[in-house]
Amino acid sequence: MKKYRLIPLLTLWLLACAPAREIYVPPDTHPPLFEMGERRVYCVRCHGHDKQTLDFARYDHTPFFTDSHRLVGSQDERVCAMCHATSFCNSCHTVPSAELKPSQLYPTESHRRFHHRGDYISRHAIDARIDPASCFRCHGNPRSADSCRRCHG
Amino acid sequence: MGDRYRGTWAVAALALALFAAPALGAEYRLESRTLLQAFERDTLERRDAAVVPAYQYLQLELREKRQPELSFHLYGWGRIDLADNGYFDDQTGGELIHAYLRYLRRDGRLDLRLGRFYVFEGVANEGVDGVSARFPLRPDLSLSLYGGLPVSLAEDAGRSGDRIVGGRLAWQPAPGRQLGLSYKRLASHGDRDEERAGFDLAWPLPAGLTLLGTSVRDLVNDRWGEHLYELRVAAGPFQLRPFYQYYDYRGFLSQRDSSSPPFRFLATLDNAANIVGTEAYWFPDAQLEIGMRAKYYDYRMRFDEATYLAGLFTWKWQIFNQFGGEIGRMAGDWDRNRYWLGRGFVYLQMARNFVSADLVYVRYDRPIFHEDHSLYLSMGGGRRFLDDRLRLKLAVAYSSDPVFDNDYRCTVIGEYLFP
Ligand code: HEC
Ligand code: HEC
Ligand code: HEC
Ligand code: HEC
Ligand code: HEC
Repeated sequence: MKKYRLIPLLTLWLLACAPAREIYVPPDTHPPLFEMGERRVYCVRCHGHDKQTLDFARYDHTPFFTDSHRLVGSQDERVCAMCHATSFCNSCHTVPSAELKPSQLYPTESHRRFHHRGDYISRHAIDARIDPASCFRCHGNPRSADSCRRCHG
Repeated sequence: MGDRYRGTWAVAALALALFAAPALGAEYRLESRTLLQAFERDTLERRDAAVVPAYQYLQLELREKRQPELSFHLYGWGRIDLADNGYFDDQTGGELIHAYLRYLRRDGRLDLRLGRFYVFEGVANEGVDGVSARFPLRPDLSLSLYGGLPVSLAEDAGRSGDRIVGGRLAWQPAPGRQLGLSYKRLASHGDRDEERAGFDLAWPLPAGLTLLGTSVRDLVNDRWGEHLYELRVAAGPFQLRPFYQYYDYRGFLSQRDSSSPPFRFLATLDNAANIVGTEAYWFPDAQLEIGMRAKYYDYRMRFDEATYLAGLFTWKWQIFNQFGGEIGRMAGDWDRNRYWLGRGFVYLQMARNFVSADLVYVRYDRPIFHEDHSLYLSMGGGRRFLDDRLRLKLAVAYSSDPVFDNDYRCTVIGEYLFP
């Protein structure tokens, strides 16, 4: 039980040395802006590089944002929630799984860089052999692998 | 809850919410999405059988006027196959994706959820039927906790003994600076199935650099599951984001009840992958973005190294109009793990109308079912009505690939926003 000895120490540190500065809590919702529209946003275009409240540049929706939002998404869900209801995230992240992949659910949104666009059945075995961990994030439990069962048992 | 009852439950919950709303003096926002699709598939009984599923998605938000801290959120879908040719296991299907009551204190310093909700936090990327709470312990330290039944296990032989608990402690000594510790434990029928502890950080460094990263420890097998560290470098219109990732197959792809069939075999391999890569961006002006993503994979066993390289550009003008292209190469060590991918898209908006098109072409180095490429083309369009509350959209997709010679899928979509 050696590893649990850290807990009292941690608690002590917790209660001691409390700084005066409060954590910034973003508002519940971002103002709806026409200019933002329905396309990916660069926060710095409007907010600049001022780092007094948030490091806005970190949330810039770059062209590969679909592939690389996981570090910010798992740390700052509250920031995401200002603009995205969880239902938005659920179009790609669903437990239980949906029958439609994102590009079938939003077939006219060609400007979004959905993963699995086009014929993914042929391509998926290659991607899965090269990088199975990337699939496991979303298909790693029985309910999110419902649609794999007809071929993978 | 069996498959066939889930849709019924969703409808019942929705009806209850809608009837209760006016009585409680609540304001509501309901977004409805209806999709009607048509395509052909071979089923057990028939070749080229028509499949005509109609999907209804509903998203509801309710808020008490006198007590705006309290809100109710619901999101779910139902499907009926109008042709009923045996393509789906059941003619109807549906899911309640989330349905929860939320209490958010006005200053944002207490956030409670009760019901079915989704958690993205540290090591958690999970649906939970239960409760969650988030609150500060100290001005610079916040804690979030959740617990209940995992939605991921709702199917297999009852839910007794299924449990999920977890949380994340975040320390934010200064704006934009953050260290997090997170934990998740998942039990299936009383057995410890998954137990993970994670560390994550976001740390600005001198000279405008930022370090982001995470490490995940698999406590069941007592080994590291994953590391991912990324450095962000910005220099005027250029950005570079080199990263390093490591994952261990046994530590990451869990083998228990909570895992999924396609990965069961991989999870038994004593394999590990080391990945180095980078993203690079160039923003020559406000309209044009140019990006590149490169990854180099190195495995402990089974394969030699592999590389992935992709480049893309997007040109945007007048807010909603854009077109772009992408080219990518996946190069595994064997022919059967290699392909080229090309993609092009346009999206044009004219007043209340829009048109869009999307083309994906993939060429496989080793043919799959004697076919060496996949071609996918999708065209769509739509129009907004009634002060934008109603949107109608139509899309037709064509695919010619190793699995289907000529496959068409038509989709008609109606979106309506109440009130
Ligand atoms: C089109 C311009 C625009 C873009 C793009 C934009 N914002 Fe904003 N944002 C605003 C405006 C306007 C406000 C309200 C005025 C204010 O408080 O600064 C605001 C407010 C905020 C606030 C609340 C500030 C406060 O008062 O506490 C946060 C946090 C925020 N935005 C984050 C983001 C993030 C993160 C992104 C990128 C994903 C982003 N914004 C993109 C214009 C924009
Ligand atoms: C200021 C508002 C704002 C904030 C804050 C914000 N987003 Fe977005 N995000 C948008 C808009 C607008 C889009 C474009 C939506 C669309 O294409 O329908 C978008 C798109 C996305 C996409 C899809 C990209 C694509 O091409 O399909 C992802 C993924 C995403 N956001 C994740 C996040 C995550 C994770 C966070 C929190 C770290 C976040 N967003 C915070 C406004 C925001
Ligand atoms: C366009 C589809 C799409 C949308 C929308 C989307 N994601 Fe993701 N998300 C992905 C993909 C793809 C990955 C896997 C990336 C990888 O390979 O690392 C991912 C990974 C993640 C992860 C890491 C999960 C894990 O188990 O390690 C988190 C956390 C996450 N997303 C949060 C969010 C949040 C929060 C939102 C909504 C604001 C969101 N995502 C919306 C596609 C999406
Ligand atoms: C962000 C979450 C996410 C990630 C990451 C992800 N998928 Fe998916 N995938 C989905 C969703 C959502 C669907 C549609 C619902 C379904 O079929 O389960 C889907 C569908 C599929 C399908 C069926 C596609 C079709 O055309 O019918 C395959 C095959 C698949 N995924 C394989 C993979 C592989 C292989 C990977 C890793 C390289 C991967 N997925 C990564 C979310 C994800
Ligand atoms: C239409 C049938 C079909 C469906 C549906 C399907 N797969 Fe596959 N999958 C295959 C085939 C065929 C292979 C290649 C087997 C081979 O080459 O050895 C494969 C290979 C894989 C592999 C690689 C195994 C290895 O060799 O390492 C993974 C992982 C995988 N699929 C995951 C998934 C996931 C996750 C889903 C569901 C989201 C899914 N598959 C859905 C047919 C399918």
